[in-house]
Amino acid sequence: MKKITAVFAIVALLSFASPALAHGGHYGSSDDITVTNHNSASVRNTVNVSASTGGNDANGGTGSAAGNGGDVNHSDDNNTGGNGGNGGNGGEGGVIYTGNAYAGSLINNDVNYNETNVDVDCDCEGDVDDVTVTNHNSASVNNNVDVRARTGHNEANGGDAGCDCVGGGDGGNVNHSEDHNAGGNGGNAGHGGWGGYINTGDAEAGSGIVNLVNTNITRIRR
Amino acid sequence: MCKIEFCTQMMLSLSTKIIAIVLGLGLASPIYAVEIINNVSSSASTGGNSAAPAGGGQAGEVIQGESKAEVRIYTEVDGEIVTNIDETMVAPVGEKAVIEKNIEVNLPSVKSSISVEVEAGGENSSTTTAKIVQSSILHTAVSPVLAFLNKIFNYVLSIFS
Repeated sequence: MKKITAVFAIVALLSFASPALAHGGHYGSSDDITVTNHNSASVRNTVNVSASTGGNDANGGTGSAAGNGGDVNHSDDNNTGGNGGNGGNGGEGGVIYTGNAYAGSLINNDVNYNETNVDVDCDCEGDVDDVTVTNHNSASVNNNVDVRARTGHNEANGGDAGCDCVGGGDGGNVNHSEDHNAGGNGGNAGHGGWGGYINTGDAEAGSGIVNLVNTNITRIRR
Repeated sequence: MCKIEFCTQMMLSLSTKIIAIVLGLGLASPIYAVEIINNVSSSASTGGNSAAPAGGGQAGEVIQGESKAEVRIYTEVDGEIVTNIDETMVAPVGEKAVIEKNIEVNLPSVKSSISVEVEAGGENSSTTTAKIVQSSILHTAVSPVLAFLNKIFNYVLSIFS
């Protein structure tokens, strides 16, 4: 009993696997027209588009350190060391103009397109013509798109002053000298630079996907 | 020559083997289905700029352009629109425009069949008539089919065991 049931099961399976056989009743006539389209497809589109005019640097340079005052060494009275020079200012940030950034992706998939045109010649003089059109379609379409447009992440920062020291250069020292001597004054520290100017363009990212899958068009004219 | 009982037993054994082979082929044959997956990310940015001053300096100026992201997805299966997305996003100045779409379309297997029977009423072709015998679109879900096949397969295996 078990085996009989198994045979039935196989018959059922075959009807799934071979659907064309279900319409086999008209195959005997020579005037029959049978069109069967079997389609299978696997389409994968992986697109990564990137456009950038950004990431520019126009930072100001770092200023020089202020000079220290001059020392007075082994001298007589009334000498004064030279003053140190002032530190240089940090450079100003520059000017950045970026253009526009456009990133675009367009995917167009036309998968499994079946157009069947059957013109039945009716000079058949009483015969019977059967027209059977069967379409079996299968498809798997993957689209993975990553579109990026960037014009940002620019830097036009002002430069630092000459050093991290506060108050500029150090005053000079007096060593092994007589009275009324003085070391020179240290130079003044420079200023940090001014920030610059940044003007970015537009950033536009666009993605378009068109998937036409399993299109079946059947025309039967008589 | 073999005895009838022995021959019957052999034929049954042979038939079960054939059944197993056919069943295996049946499982290996493609199951008609439609699966479409779209993972789309579209992003635009003009931000992240710096025109800062250093100590004692004066701040600079930053002018940022427009950030615009756009996504269009159009999917048509057998003439039927299943996905139609058209989105555009313009971000405020300095912010990022991002559109992300994750779309998964799973459709059952499709078998479309059309059968036309043309009957000639006479010798003149102008008198022929056409009759649509069948015009159907059979939708068979994949998962029930798989479940059915698995059930059969397990049953046949139980016979062998």
